[in-house]
Amino acid sequence: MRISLIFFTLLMGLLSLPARERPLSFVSDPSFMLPEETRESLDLFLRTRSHKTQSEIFLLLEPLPEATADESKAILKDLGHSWSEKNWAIIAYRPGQINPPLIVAGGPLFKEVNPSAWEKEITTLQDLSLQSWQNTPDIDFLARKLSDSLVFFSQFKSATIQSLTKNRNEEFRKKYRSHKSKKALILTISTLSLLALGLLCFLSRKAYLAKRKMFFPETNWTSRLGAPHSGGSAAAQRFTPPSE
Amino acid sequence: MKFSLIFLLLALTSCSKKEAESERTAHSEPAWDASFFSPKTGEILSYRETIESISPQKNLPISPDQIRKRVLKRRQVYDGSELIEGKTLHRYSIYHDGSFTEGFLFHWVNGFLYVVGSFTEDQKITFANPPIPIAHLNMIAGTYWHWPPQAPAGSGSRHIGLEQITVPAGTFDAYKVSIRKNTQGKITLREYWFAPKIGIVKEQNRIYSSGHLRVINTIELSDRSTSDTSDTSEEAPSEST
Repeated sequence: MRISLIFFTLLMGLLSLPARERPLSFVSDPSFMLPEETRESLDLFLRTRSHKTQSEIFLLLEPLPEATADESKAILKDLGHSWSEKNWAIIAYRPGQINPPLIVAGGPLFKEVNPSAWEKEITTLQDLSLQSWQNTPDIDFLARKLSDSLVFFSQFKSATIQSLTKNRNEEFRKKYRSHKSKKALILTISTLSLLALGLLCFLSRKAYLAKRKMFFPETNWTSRLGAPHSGGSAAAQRFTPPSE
Repeated sequence: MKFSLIFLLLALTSCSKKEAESERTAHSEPAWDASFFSPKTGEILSYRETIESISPQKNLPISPDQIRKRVLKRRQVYDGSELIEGKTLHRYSIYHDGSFTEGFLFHWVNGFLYVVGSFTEDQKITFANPPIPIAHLNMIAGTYWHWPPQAPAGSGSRHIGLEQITVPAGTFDAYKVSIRKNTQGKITLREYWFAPKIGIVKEQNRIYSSGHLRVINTIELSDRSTSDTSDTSEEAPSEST
């Protein structure tokens, strides 16, 4: 949404391209915005992708006359269709512009692909390209990732492997659960054993106390003169076995 | 009676330990397909790892001196396989500049290669839930591996295709897999190149948070050797795998 707004409000002055021949290089960078090494490496990458897959990416890093976003898109679309019969995408960026690079794509793929999914893909890539450590969008990253996306979307298969992965996940979850339950079982048995041990100790102690023979002293009290008035008594204690 | 219960308790705990040990020693499950994933015990994959990062507090514009760059030597040693919980798992130990950092457990089953867990230096295992698919015997370009099942749309692995990739160890034919993970504003882009018979030959992770790129982590295979002949590196396979 943000990107769309940017397109409609800030992209004034990006492109207005007259019909032109397909460029020899996949990277048109007349103002040398990209370092030479990056430019050559990227061109080689895009050339290889063009040979080995049904996808082509063109990069236009040019200061171009002003145009509205819709006009620019229409012009780029015409260019793309005239340049390639494969699935293609054009990344257009005017050096110095603060807006994200404009991306237009076309080709046989887009008769089948879900437009909203592709739009979301482009928006994400544009957004990520702006989060680079440079003051300009990371064009090299954007071009490579866009190429990946185009290749992926153009060969997209139903995710049949997903079901296998799901089964595998469930299998592991079961294993994990059984592992956990084994631990819980050991813990429960240990706790119960300790409780039983405690109970046994308590009962055996009680039985021992019940059977224990107690020896109490026999006390004989001897009267002393004046005892009822002044208190006190003399007691003699003898420890003897209890009388039968 | 009191003592017999204590003995019972001790016997119970010792039995469970013995069971676990016996599970981890023997392994008889045959390799699923030796031509695709066939590591040899003692095999070492050496990588050059570059980590570029900026601190979480830094915002744009970023000057070059604010980017912290570290280059590490990463070694991935195959320790062999063992039977854990009834499955033959393959152990890989990772060393950075000679120190053990972490270990991974791989499971090769039904044509899928999964990372199923990790282990620490003291062999404490943590299982990944769910396991992470790394490669498939018949990797088909355009295939999307949606994992984990509860992940939001857009997350998961994309198989881009078979590519020829050049790294310091040589040129390899490798399958490119791209993973995008978006969790609570933190986006991780991971792409790796998996060469059959070898493993991951290159990997790059880009981590974005708070609207900025924070980390770029790149590993590239620089050498292949075995622990017996650590100074001899093998040539890259010349034919398409």
